[in-house]
This record gives sequence, structure tokens and C-alpha cells, in this order.
Amino acid sequence: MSTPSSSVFSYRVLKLKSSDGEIFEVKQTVAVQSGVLKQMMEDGCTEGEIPLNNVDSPTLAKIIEWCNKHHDDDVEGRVLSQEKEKEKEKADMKRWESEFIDALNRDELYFLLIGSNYMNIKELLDCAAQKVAGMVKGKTPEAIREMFNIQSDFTEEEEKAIRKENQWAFN
Amino acid sequence: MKRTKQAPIFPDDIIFEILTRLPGKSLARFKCVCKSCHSLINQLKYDNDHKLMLSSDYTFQSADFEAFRIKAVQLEFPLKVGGHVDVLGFKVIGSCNGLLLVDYYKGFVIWNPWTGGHKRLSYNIRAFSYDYFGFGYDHSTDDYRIVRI
Repeated sequence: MSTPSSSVFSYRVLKLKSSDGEIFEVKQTVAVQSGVLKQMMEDGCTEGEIPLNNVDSPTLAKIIEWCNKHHDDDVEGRVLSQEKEKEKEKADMKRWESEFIDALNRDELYFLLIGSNYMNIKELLDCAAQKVAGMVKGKTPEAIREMFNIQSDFTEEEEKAIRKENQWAFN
Repeated sequence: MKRTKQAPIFPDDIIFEILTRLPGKSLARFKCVCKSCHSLINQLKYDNDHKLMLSSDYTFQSADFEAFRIKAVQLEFPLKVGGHVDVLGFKVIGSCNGLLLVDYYKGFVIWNPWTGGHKRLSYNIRAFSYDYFGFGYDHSTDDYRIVRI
């Protein structure tokens, strides 16, 4: 059963302000998944709007969708489920996560990666980084440069030498 | 953060997050992308939390615990003979901090299977069948040592 103080806590909301000025209200119990917001709550500096200058509104909406899905509303009040149910819940969550990530286009995924890194949401960062890593597999250095908008700063000779050194990866 | 047509430029810490999730072959290709990628990858250490090395006389594999079910991933030994890995010619002598010491028929090789980095050792101690070798880290010299008994 929840104590009165914890239920008051769970209904307190944070006002998050995206880089494009939109305000999102998020319950503290949900926001705690972000390492940055958790730290701010502990330091008691969550009054007013919290500006998230590195996260735009479509990305913040996605991040909040993820956090809502991953937060357990009333952990204390819930009867501990059986092992089998737990397994099923875990599998369902994995499926939800991969569907969530797979539904994003490249830009949405990239911004989500930047946002989850900025807000320090470890599980989301893990998922997004894993997805991007999967996209890198099998790509040539040229394709990787294009993918990440990176310019090569090797001289022709340096690049030749480095390719030779790593020739095994091109076979 | 504004959206543009081009992909956003990731800070190094995000690139690092991606690199730590790549297999050796992709990392070796990533090294050819730019100088900072090259140096980031050279700094990577084998992550023992997530991966376990397995080997038999003929294969090198690592276990991927992050997959839905644990699965074995074949690792590519970087030294090839005539375009093929000489599967009969190598044997793992020992491992330390994620590095493997491999007895290759041309000599010893220290191999980091994660980054694909390797170093051949010119040794003139011929491995006799009755010799035993060990591979370890020596704190006093901050270097690795091969011990023959």
C-alpha cells in the first residue's frame, strides 16, 4: 500500500521545456528515469520550467512515451507476480522496445540518441545506440562517413596505410 | 537543436556508445573513417562485462549476452594465408585483459579480438611440444609477458 507521502510525490509533475519552447508535464516518478532530472530533483531545483536545450518537441514526446511505458506506477501496492508472468512481461517489453525503435526514421532515431544521452536515460540510450550500431554493420568507411556526416581528415597516403592495416575487414 | 537535411554531428561520447556495440570487423572499417574515430577505437578496451571469449583449436568465438538468447559469434582472425584463414595453424596459448596470445605457425600473435588489433611477435624461442607457455600482465613494468616453462 502506498503511504500518503509517496502518493503526493507521485502526482507532483515537472515541467519540461523543449528546445522549440513546448512545455511537457511529466510525473516525477516517470522523470526519475532520466539521470539528469533525478539529480535535479535530489538537489531540489525543479521549480518552474526545466529547459532541455538539446531536445526538440517531437523527440521529447518520444522520450516521454518511452519513460511512461517503462515506469511502474505502484510498485509497492502490486502483488509480486509469478516467475512465469515476469518472464512474459519482460518478453513483451522487449517486443515493445524493438517496435518502438524500429518505427523511427533515421533522423528521429538520431535525435532520440542525442536526447537520451543528454538526459541520461540509460535504457533508451542502450536501445537507440544498439539500433544505430546495427545500421553500421557491413558498411564501407565511405558509407559510414555519409551516415554520420563525418569528413575524412586523412591524407591519401594515410588512408591507404590504414586501409592496408585493416585489410582483413574488407575481405 | 535544429533539424536539417544532413545527419546531426554526434559528439564523441555518442560515437563511443555506438562503437562499444560493434563487432571487430565493423570497428576495423570504422577506423578508416577519420582520425578521431581511429584514435577512439584504439582506446577501446575489451568489455568483459558483456562478452566472453570461447575458443577451440579451430574457431574463435565470443558469446553475445545482449542478444535475446545468448548466442555465439564467430570472430575473424585477422591473419590470413592466401585469402583464407589457416584454421589448422593456430592455437590459443592464453588470454589476459581481453587480449589473446595465439600461437600462429609463423610465430606468436597478440590479438585484441574486439578491435581487430594485432601484433606479431618475432620470437626465436621455437615452441617445442613439451614447452608450456603462459601469458600475463606484469604490473611492475606495465607490460605483458609471455612465460615459458
